Amino acid sequence: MKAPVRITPPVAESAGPPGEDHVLVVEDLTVRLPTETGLVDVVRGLNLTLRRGETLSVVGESGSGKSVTALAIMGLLPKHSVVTGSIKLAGRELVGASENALRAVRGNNLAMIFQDPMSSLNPVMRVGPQIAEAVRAHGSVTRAEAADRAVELLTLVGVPNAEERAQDYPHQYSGGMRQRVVIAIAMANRPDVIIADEPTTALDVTVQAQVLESLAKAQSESGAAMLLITHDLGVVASLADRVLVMYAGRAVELGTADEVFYDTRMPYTVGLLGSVPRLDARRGSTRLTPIPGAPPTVDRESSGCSFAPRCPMASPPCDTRPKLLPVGAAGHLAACHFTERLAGVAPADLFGRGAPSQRSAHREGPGLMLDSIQEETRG
Amino acid sequence: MAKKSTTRHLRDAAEPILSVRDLVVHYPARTGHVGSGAEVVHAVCGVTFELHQQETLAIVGESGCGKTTTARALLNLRQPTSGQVLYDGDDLATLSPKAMRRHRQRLQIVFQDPLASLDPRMTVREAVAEPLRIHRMTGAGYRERVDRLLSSVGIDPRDADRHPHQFSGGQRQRVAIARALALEPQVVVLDEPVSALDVSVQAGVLNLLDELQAETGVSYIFVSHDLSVVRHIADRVAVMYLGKIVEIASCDELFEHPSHPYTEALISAIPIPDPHRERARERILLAGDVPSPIDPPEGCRFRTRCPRFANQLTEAEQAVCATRPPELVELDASHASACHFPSAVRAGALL
Repeated sequence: MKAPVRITPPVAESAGPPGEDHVLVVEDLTVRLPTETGLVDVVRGLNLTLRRGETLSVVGESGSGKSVTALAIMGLLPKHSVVTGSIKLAGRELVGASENALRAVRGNNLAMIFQDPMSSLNPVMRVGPQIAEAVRAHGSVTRAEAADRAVELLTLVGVPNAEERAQDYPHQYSGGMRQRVVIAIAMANRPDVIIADEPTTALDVTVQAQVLESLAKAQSESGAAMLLITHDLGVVASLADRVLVMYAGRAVELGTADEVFYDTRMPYTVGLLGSVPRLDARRGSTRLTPIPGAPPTVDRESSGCSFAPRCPMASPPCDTRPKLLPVGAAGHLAACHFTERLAGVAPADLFGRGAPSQRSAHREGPGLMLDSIQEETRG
Repeated sequence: MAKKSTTRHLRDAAEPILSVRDLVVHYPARTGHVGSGAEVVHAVCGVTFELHQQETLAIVGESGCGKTTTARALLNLRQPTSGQVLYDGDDLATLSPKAMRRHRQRLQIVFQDPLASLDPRMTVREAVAEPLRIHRMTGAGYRERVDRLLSSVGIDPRDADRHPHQFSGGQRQRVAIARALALEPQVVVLDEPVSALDVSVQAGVLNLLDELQAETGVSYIFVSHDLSVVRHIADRVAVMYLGKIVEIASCDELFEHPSHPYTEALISAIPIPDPHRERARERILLAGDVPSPIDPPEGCRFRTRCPRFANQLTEAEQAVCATRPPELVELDASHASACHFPSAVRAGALL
């Protein structure tokens, strides 16, 4: 990665100053990615802190910037990306750090789990030696000790007959088992932070349940903090201590799982919760309340609230972008001018009226994509 | 919207509009090894069900369970190995492509990826008009009809002279739905129609499907891996495992009183987006993975992962599971399960 320009971050919008127990502190992170049409802003001034041992879940839809945030923290963005702001891992600055410095951090302090396990496993190397390699890369242990540790780790993540299976190649493992191997490698060096980017999205539900169990166990065994990136609000509800909701490259709501799910204060989060069909709701008892329109394309940026074009509460104040400000309890933040009015508001109250299946919202709603194209052609 | 009857029976008084009997689809395995041509994938192994007027029947299961193959075999998009698909007096499974064409008008399909099923060079209007042109329905009011179809799925006809890539994913799926409905079909097979969409957009498409059904009386076969979506949209649900239906019941019955241990595990595995409820739930974890459909287990196909088989059954009972394939047996009029030792009613303990 090209050494990015450091810009002094403005006053952090997160709650309170970073303290002793904060293993990861991200301040005013912006990421601009190279595209055919030039650099586009994908992450726009993100602040987040991760406390030791906690699970912070980052949720949002495609294009919200959640995965790019993860890649930025890991220093895995494509060349010529421009990253500004600060990412401090256990006190060490990662933005602008050399590749060597980053390599020392990855695996040792920071581990990652991606959606596709085969993208992180070596297909021509047996599973046991791959884990042992990770163990040896960052610690002074003998070959034999590392091999023993590999089997121990495989057992811990729930691979049956670990000693035998350590001799197999990744292709001899099923998808769920491969993801467990990746989890075993991630925890090999007791990292401070595990970043899991959609770790179970490619898996079937019964396998997802097994892998989530392994992940929770791996985390409690290693004491690592976890940044869990997912679009699945069910997974968030089952694992997250705190939740960060992203929209169009910005944090729009942050709070404990309870605060975000039960005391939602940002219209986008309200809409998201109202859109999800629930296994425990009888057919016909609740109507889904979709959010009209589609998320803005990344190359468009307004000076106002980026959710306003889809928001039923949008009004003149929304022409100014709302800051992420505290609501009620300490630590619960939301970016909306009307957070007080959202107390106790249900998704159906906000999005339920009018055209429920968006049949009449076509012009201003789903027309967003079209509008941006029209603007392009007008040049 | 008006709620349909949730106590629809397996055998309705009314005639089913589509009935599938003992459907089997086998195909040669492509393992890549020389001389492996003799191996056969047992994708669908004796599936029987009926579909009624204005009903949504969901077929659910995990990857490789045969749900998509079943859906495609219904429309003769994949030739069934044996079995019958009875529709309008014909057995679709044995019809020639030419004879099948007569029925295609009334039997439509929507795929998961609308970008793959819409011709990128056709405008959206052309895409929706194409089925009408093919079936020579281009008489008076043809243009208005296309506009009406587009409006009915929430696409402004003024935008219809644009190409699919200029629309968002949700809009494209709406176009694919309009195209499927153009010929006023009786049955639409929806193969993972919302799986590629973001949740906020998915909700709009699900509501749209519901409304269109209420307006037109169309029946849906809704193939999905997502049980939360199915809970929301289906009247009846068939759960498939390794090519067989293991349980079929009305939607509420299936989710509230599952009888088959696989259905129980499936329901318990799905996280609910509600932290308090979710953390209070008891999860049934299945051991291992789905066996290969090339060589499915003898007897009950689920026994290799079945927690009841492993923990609760006596040796004599296990021998039954290992040798006799369980038949789909009716527990009551709206509920059938294929298990030698089905659960007693658990009354929502899994949710």
